[in-house]
Parts: sequence; C-alpha cells; structure tokens
Amino acid sequence: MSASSEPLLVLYNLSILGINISITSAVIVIWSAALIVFLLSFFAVFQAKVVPGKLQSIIEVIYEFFDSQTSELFGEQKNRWLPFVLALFCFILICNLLGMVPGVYPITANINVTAALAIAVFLAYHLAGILSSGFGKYFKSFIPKDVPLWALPLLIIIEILSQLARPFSLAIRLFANMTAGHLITLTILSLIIIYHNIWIAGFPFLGRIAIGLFEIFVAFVQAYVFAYLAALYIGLAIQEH
Amino acid sequence: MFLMDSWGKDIGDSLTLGFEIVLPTLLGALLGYLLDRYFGTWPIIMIMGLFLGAALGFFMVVYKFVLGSDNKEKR
Amino acid sequence: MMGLLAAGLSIAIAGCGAALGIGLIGAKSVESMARQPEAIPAIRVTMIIAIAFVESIALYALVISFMLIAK
Repeated sequence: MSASSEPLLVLYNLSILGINISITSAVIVIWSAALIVFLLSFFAVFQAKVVPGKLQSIIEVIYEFFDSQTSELFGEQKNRWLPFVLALFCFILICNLLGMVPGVYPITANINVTAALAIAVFLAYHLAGILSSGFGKYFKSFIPKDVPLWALPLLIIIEILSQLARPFSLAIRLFANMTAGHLITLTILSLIIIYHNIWIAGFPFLGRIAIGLFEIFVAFVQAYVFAYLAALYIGLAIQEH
Repeated sequence: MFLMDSWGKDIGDSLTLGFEIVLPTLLGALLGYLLDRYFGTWPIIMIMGLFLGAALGFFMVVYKFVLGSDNKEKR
Repeated sequence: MMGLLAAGLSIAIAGCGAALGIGLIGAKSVESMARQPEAIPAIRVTMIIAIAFVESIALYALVISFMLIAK
C-alpha cells in the first residue's frame, strides 16, 4: 500500500530461489541516494582544509551535532558506532528529500524500506550489546532481578514485547510521516482536477506550496528522530550494567 | 544537548511508549482471531484477546515506571 | 468510498483529541516544573507516562484507519 502519485515500476525481473528481488524504481532510488551520500561526503573531506569550504562546513555541522549528543552516551566506543548513526541520518535525509522531487518514487513512504532500516537498527543495537558485554552477560541483563518465580514468564513476555515495539515504532513513525505528506499533496492537488475551475484552483496551489515547505521540515525532523533513537538504543545496550 | 543529562532516556521513552501500549493490544487481538478461526467461536476469543492485550500493554508501562526494581527509591 | 471517508474522519478526530490532551499535559507540567525545580525528575516521569496513554488512543485510531483503507 503506497499512497503517492508515482507508481512502482518493475524494470528488470530477477528472482533467486523463488524470492522476488527484481529491480524496481524503488531500488534505483535507493542506489541513487546511497551514491549521492557517498559522493557528497567523499568530496567534502577529499582535500580537507583547516578553514573549511562550503560542503565541508555542512558535513562538519552534522558531525559535530551528533558528536556532542552521543559523546557521553557511547563513551570510548564512539568511533565504532558514530559512523552508523551518521550514515543513518544522511541516508534517510537524502531519501526523504529525493521523494519530494516530482517523478521520483518516494521510498521512505514504502513500509518495506522503513521496516528494513528498522531491522538494521534492531540488529545493530543487539550487536552493540553483545560486542561490549559478551554474549551470555548481555542476554542475562534482560531478566529482572529479585522477582517472585510465578511472575517470571509474564515478565519475560513483557520484556520481549517491549523489545519488539522498538523497531516497530521506528518503521511506523517514518512511514506514517512520509506517507501523510504525500497523501495530503495528492488529495489537495486532485481538487484542481475535480473542479476544473480557474477560480478554485488558487487554493490547492497555495496549499501545495505550504504543505511542501512543511514536508521539507518533517523530512529533516524524521531523519533526526530516527538517528537519535538508534543512537539511544545503541548507547543503552552498551551501558548495560 | 539532550543526551548528556538524564533527559535522554525519557525522551526516547516518550517516543516509543505509545507503541508499547498498542502493540500488545494488536497482538492479543491477532492471537484471539487466529484461535477463533481454529475453534470457530467468533468473536468471543478475539474480544478477550483484545482486552487481555490492552491490560498487558498498560501493565508494561506501570511495571516499567512504578513497580520495577530500580524504581524503589523514586516512589 | 464511505470507507475512505470514515478512515480520514477517524484519525482526524482522534488526532484532535490526542493533540489537545498532550498540549494540556505539557503546559501543566512545564508550569509545575517552573514552580518547583527540585521536583523536575518526578514531574518528568509522570508527564512521560501520561503522554504515552494519550498517544496510544490516537494510535488505536490510526490502526483502524489503516484497516478501513485496506478493505
């Protein structure tokens, strides 16, 4: 279920062992977003000067923003996990902004892409906990101490459900915010087609401009919230004492 | 900014706690629906599953913030 | 067609209620934090719990609207 005006075109049919992995327009957008992020960051630090140029200043602002927020959370493992958080932020931001361009399929308005990103964060924070405290000690920290024995299965179910709610909420939040923007745009602009009247066409036009500006703001905020929550989960898993 | 003092975990909780109440409710309703299709008694088990799931979701929040073992000095 | 109208109305009205509720909770809690700054951790925890309960009702309406669209 995708609610945008661009259809999902299948460009090249591939399937491995019965699993359909054809090249669709969403795959092209994912590759383009990754290529754009790589090219922007590569050319920003290619010949890094002490007094930075324009592109280098933008990358430095993003880096220092996340560095100041996660330095106490990650501790000495900052160099291991800060690139992951920064890559998440930059990739989701470029994906959201690419979806605003008319004609490009908005991939973050597709539940499959956001679910894949949420599963990546889920695996990352459990991996962070395992790498920092050892396998047995990390999984033992989920069992709460000094509870009566009859309540233990219920508490384990509660703990598993609250661990499952984290990637679920990440995926749904990003998907719902992006889909809402595209759905409102579709609804407002279709008023012009329904009414066919030049005097009524002013309101959808101005409304589209206002919604478009708000959508750009939401793109930045949602990318930041996703990366913030990923950093928080990784930091909480590292600090499991 | 936010993560340096103790606000970080609370802000992270505020963004996810809504889902932590809804998800057990939905899973309880889904489990009740599957059991209804197996036993054929519609819609009794699904309604029971819905309310049990909602109770479990509320209990999760209460346990995490009030009854948990690290909240004894905060009460 | 009525299903889509119901989907839109359900999340819109539930969103009104949830936004008003969270706004009132935030306003009252910030006011009480300003009156007594040494009680800020306790007030913050209570605010988070109250916001979670209000937000869950809006999420129920979102789930119902997704089910109405998919029908």
